[in-house]
Amino acid sequence: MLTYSDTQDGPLMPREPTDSAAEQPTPLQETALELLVESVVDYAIFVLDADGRVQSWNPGAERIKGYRASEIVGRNYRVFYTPEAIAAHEPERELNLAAEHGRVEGEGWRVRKDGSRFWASNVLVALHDPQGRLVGFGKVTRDLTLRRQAEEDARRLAEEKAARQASEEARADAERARRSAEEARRRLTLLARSSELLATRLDYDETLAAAARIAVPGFADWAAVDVLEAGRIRRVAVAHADPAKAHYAWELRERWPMDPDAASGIPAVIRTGRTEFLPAITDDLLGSICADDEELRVVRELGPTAAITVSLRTSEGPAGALSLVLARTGGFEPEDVELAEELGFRAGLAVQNARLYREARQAAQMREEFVAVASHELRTPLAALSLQIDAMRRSLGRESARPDEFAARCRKAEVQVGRIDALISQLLDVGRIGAGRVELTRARMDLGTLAAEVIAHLDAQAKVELRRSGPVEGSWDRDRLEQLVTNLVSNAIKYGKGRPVTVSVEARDGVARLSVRDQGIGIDPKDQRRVFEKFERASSHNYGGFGLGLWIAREIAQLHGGRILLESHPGEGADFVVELPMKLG
Amino acid sequence: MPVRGTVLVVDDDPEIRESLGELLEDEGYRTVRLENGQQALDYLRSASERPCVVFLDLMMPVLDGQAVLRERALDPELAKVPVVVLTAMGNPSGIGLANRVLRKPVRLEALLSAAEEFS
Repeated sequence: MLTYSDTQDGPLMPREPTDSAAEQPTPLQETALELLVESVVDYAIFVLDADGRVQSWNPGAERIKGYRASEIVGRNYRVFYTPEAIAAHEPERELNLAAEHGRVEGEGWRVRKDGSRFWASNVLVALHDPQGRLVGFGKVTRDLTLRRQAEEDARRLAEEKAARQASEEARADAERARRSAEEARRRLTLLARSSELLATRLDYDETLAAAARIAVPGFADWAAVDVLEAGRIRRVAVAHADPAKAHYAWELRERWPMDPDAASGIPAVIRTGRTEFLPAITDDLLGSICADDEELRVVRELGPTAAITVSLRTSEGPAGALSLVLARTGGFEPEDVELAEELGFRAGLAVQNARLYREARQAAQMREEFVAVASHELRTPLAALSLQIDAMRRSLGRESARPDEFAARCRKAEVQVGRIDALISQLLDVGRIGAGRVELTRARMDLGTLAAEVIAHLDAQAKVELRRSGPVEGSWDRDRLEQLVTNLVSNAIKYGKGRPVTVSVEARDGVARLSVRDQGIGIDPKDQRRVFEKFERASSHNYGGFGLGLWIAREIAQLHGGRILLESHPGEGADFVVELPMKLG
Repeated sequence: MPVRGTVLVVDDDPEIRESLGELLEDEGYRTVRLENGQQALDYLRSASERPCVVFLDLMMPVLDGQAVLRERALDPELAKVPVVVLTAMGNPSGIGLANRVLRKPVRLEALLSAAEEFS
């Protein structure tokens, strides 16, 4: 720390702390020091007397504070302070502190002559004479406004930067939140749309079409629904954002049907229920899956770039697949797969409901038709019966009435009664079998003998030939099998165009086989499953009967643990083969 | 018993067809009995002598009764032959083209009076 002392006649000079007072500054030193102080312009260097009045003033002080030496020398240095600092007696306190401690340093606001403020760095040093008496103070002030400004600028910049970073982060957060909200909205919109489109429909075909439409456009550029029907994969619905292109999606599957056993793609999704996600479909990939250049051309028209294929699952197993495809508009996100699966699940439910509804409606329609057919079929023998009765009454009134003629009419009437009885039995059987209320009365019997009896009893309008080699015995319900064979043989006669019917009975590998073959109109392959259904006939209405005969025959075979097979080609007759296990269990 | 004209009986059910035929023959009509509409049209177009009346069932294989009525309406020669429809159906379409409709089970008296009226 520096201490200062003055000489009585000379200017006040700093002095090195020393015991010797003999080392006085030389005049040269004093002059050099004066010159130095006078030349300093960056620092205000001035001296105060013990009361704080300005005693000296250098150019730096004039530059920084704005006072000329003549204006300020003799005035109290308080004028450099702000009114607040003056009111707080800061100038006096600083002098006291400096007097006490020798030196005070600090930074603070100071006031220029023109009233403007500046940030100053100050050093106030107490000056003592050689005897240690306080004679005044030296003060060095530096204008730090620029530095402070620079510091403030730096601080402000740092703050602004931090604020900007914070706001950028906030913006990024907001953007993320916006995107996630947008995603949630899209998801909700899609699911709401799926509910709207699917829940309001019960028609099967309309539901399939709606399933394709849910995600187009918005989620996918085009979509297709393929279902598994009778072992074949059939495209049943297409939706395309550009309706003019939808036909390519149809054409593709009509011209190049899918192999139901294919290891990947729609068939695999239908088979396994597992989603297939193709995030990026390249032209090379298309080339590898297309059968030929023509298929590739059609696929390129659809321009798939990404695809998700999900299963349309129902509680009865896979119903089909929903393919959602993007065409030249970027890709799907992984979370889109989950959304697609949700759509598949909903569409599957709707398809199942529609299918059940269709089946229920078809069943109701079939019952209605059945009632109409049944009343017609019952009226036909009734009409014949009624005519015979009328004729009998008429012949009774005649004198020429002959007993043999009367007896013949009675027999004809009895035939009609028998027909009515048989029809009613059929109706009752349908009710009983349908309700599972049929108890089999099993007894040892020979199938060939039974067939022979049935043929003998049938009032055949065609030749029926029986082929049998040896006994074919089993434990079966005789009455039920008689009904079965009667149904099959009378069916063959009815549709046999008057040509011979062949019945053959044989035993093979513990299975009794009875075949009834006609040479009549035959049954189209597409109708072969249908003829066994309740109330169905190969050609509707025009052949008489309820159309229950084959259904009852199949049910009886199944009650015995057996089955009926049908082989037929249109125009080449039909061969119904009954297979019955010869041993129980 | 007087010998009357020829009556065409068209019904796919053999019992009905034969019963109708026999009863009409008992009354002195000659009958031609056919199984379906196509046989009826073929007969009407080729027979040397037109029958005096046709008893026509509606539900028949190959060609049904309604189709016969429509064909007949388009052919002035066929239109000259009166047709009596026999049906078990409530209110089938197209029977306005028939001269008379008898509901099954048809009573013998109604049948014979129609035969007499149109023969």
